[in-house]
Amino acid sequence: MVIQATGLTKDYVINLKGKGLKGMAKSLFKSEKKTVHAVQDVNLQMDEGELVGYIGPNGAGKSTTIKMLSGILAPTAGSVRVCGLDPQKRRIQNAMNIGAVFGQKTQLWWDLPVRETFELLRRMYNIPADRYKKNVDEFMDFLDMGPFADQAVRQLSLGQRMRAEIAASLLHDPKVLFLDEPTIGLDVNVKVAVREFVKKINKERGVTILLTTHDLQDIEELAKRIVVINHGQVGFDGSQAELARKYADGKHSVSFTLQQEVSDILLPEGLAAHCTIQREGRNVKVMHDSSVSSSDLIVALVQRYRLTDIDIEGPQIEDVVMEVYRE
Amino acid sequence: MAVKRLWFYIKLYPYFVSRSIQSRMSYKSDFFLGVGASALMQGLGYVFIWAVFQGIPEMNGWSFYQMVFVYGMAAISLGLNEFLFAGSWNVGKHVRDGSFDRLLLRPMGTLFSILAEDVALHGIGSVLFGLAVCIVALCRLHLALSLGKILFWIVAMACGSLIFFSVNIVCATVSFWVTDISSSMVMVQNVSEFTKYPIAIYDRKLQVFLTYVIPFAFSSYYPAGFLLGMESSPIYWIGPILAAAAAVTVAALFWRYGTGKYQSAGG
Repeated sequence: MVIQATGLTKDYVINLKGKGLKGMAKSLFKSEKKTVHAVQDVNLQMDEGELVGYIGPNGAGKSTTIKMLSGILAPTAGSVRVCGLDPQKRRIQNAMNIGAVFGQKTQLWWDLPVRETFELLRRMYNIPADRYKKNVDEFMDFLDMGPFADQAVRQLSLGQRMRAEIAASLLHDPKVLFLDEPTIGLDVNVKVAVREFVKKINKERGVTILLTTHDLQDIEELAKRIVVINHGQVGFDGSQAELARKYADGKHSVSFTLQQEVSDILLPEGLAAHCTIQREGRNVKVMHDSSVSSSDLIVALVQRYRLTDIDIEGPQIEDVVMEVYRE
Repeated sequence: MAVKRLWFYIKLYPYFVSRSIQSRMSYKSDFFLGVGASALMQGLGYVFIWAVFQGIPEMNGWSFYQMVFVYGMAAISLGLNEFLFAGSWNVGKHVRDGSFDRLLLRPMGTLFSILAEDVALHGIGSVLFGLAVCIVALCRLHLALSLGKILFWIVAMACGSLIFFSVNIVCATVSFWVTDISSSMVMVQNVSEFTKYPIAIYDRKLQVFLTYVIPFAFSSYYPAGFLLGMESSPIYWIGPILAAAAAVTVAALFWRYGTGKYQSAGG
């Protein structure tokens, strides 16, 4: 077990400031406090080499969880082990085991060229010379970083910087990688490059990856397992297929066009109970839940009617996620 | 293990600092202005003492050049602190905008990260000025320091800057609870003004305060008293070392406690 979080909880205490000057003066002496339960009783286990998509709406507690796993924040309650270590108490050793990318904050040195930043990291993590060279060459090549490797970080575009951030987080061969919204604000090409790179790192190096994102394409392409957090609590933990079954039942559909006008679409009894029919002239959409297989439905339809343009649709991950977030 | 760790930091430090200087040097005029301003500030204080002594031959047993020596010692310690430990001024900013996160992600002590991240070269202006007036004072007092005393002097200056640094760190640590602490840091910095003159000229209560509460007096008055051969009590020579050790210990423990309270920021 690479990551093991049990009953993980984080409360923030926020000082509420009053409005205006008067409120400010008041809060100097007596401040009202409010407790925010950012993460509540989260259990998360990840095996070596797993890639988990950690999703949830803004403010759900995703970043707070990652900050506790990476040793930045101390949990209010519960226990965390990353590679067998308590990330906060053994912060320095834990830092050697993990890599982290926060899409919203840079880990690089603003005034230094990318190449020098890597050199600093080499010294900081004591990376053996041969590993360092191999990693830099491979990352530079795969992420096409050559053109901007000698520019100061502050001069990079977001896409260039993000590629540098991800490469930087992996130079020391971490066992675990935390990616907190790594594709935020990136154009399609860079997104694809980042996804391919993450896939490759996970597959070839067996790096355990926890990924948060609002881009569902990331999730669809990368994460077999999804953990959904909302209001600080885990609402779902399982495969993409299970997620779809749980939240988007009834979102499967078969659409077709009738070749002849018919008054009513009739389905065999076993199927009819699980289907709803939408119709607009000859264009028909039959929606059904997952207890009905699309092929059975099509066979039943073809036996009774003459159809063209048959189109089968599964639940869209957008629908699923919207459903989950609504809870 | 601890030795290995220390060696790791010693090797890493110059590399980090040279990077910091590299990025600071891209603003060259800033650097020269800074050195000039820093030396000028100290110079004004010198003029002040000189003006006071135009009217009186000595102050509570301290002659003009003895006072100048104390003044020079304080300038050296303060300058070293300014030069080497400038990073402590960035703590508040790191905590406020959440960039302290990235220091916690590195496999290094956070205090080391803070120190290695920033040096303020213009502190050298103060150091050079202090050194110059100390040498002038020694010549005028016709004092030749033994090798032992010169070594003590170096140690005392290191201890003095560590005391300033520790007090700064204690103030900076408060930013883990209170968001803006720069004004309190400036206030404590202003207290260091007192160390430019022998504490013997102050009220008893202030002497106790500068010795036991905020032990700034160990950066100038005590070691100067010993170096100038004016005092022989052990507090004048062992005091600076003990005070620095105590200050660093308190600062490090408080820092460790404070970083545990770090709340990060934003998403």
